[in-house]
Amino acid sequence: MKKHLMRMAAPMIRRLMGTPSCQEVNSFLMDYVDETLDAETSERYRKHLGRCGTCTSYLEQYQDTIKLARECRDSELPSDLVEHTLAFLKDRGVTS
Amino acid sequence: MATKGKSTSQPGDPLDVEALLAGDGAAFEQLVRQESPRLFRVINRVVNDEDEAASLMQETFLQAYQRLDTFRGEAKFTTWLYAIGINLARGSLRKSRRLSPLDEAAVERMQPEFSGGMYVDHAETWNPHRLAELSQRRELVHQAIAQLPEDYRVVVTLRDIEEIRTEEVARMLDVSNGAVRVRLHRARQALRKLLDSHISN
Repeated sequence: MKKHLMRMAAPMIRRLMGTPSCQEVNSFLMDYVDETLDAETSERYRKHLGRCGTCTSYLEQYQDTIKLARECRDSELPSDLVEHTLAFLKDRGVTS
Repeated sequence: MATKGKSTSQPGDPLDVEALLAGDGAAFEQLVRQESPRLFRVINRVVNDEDEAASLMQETFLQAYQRLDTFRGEAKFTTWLYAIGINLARGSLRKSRRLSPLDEAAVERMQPEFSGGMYVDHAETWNPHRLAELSQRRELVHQAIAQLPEDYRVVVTLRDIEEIRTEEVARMLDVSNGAVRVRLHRARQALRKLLDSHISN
């Protein structure tokens, strides 16, 4: 019941305090991570994050997701693919 | 024997675009040596089939050579090359009719829900020890990315895995910067959700 009331009252309290909602923070998460938000907005977000555990955890998961994707970069090519490609192109008059 | 100019260039050297456009074979060989690893990775992420990706990469270089006169210099040469490769990969995927395990509606369902501007579900920070110890972590992430619909898979590959700038990705895909950013955000949130079920347990 208390949680429900908080949800009802939250938008009004935020408007009065001039702070963004979790949903607004989420919609600009990428800009926040990329550091492309203007200083004022960024500061408002930081304040929100400072007192919102859910947003902080979500931001950390979001950043971990990016890191995990980055780890997926393979460096190995199938063996001889470059040489086969050059031979393929040579047959077609591209490389000598 | 010492040779001069283009034939002594090494992978990683800046591309000699003038020589490429003039149809110089040595410059093209440098392009192939330099770009093959990344181009192969990108194409393979789209088609999820190494043999097909290898064949498509060769076709990409050939088409680039045959269409050199259509390069306008508005984008980087490599951006133009990747646009050709990605188009070929998407065409191949369409022909094979292989569908991604997840569709647009599934991606939508994996976006966070809000009520009164607040998250409906409470997220818990992933335990770093659990993350570090998670066996076959790379395989898990590989599989999660492979499940995403093609549009999302491509942006995650180009932006997050290959770390190519948004503007370049937009040119490669022939969409706006805004479209790249929207897709990437949705893709990251879907991936987060997919990974969460394995990491939070």
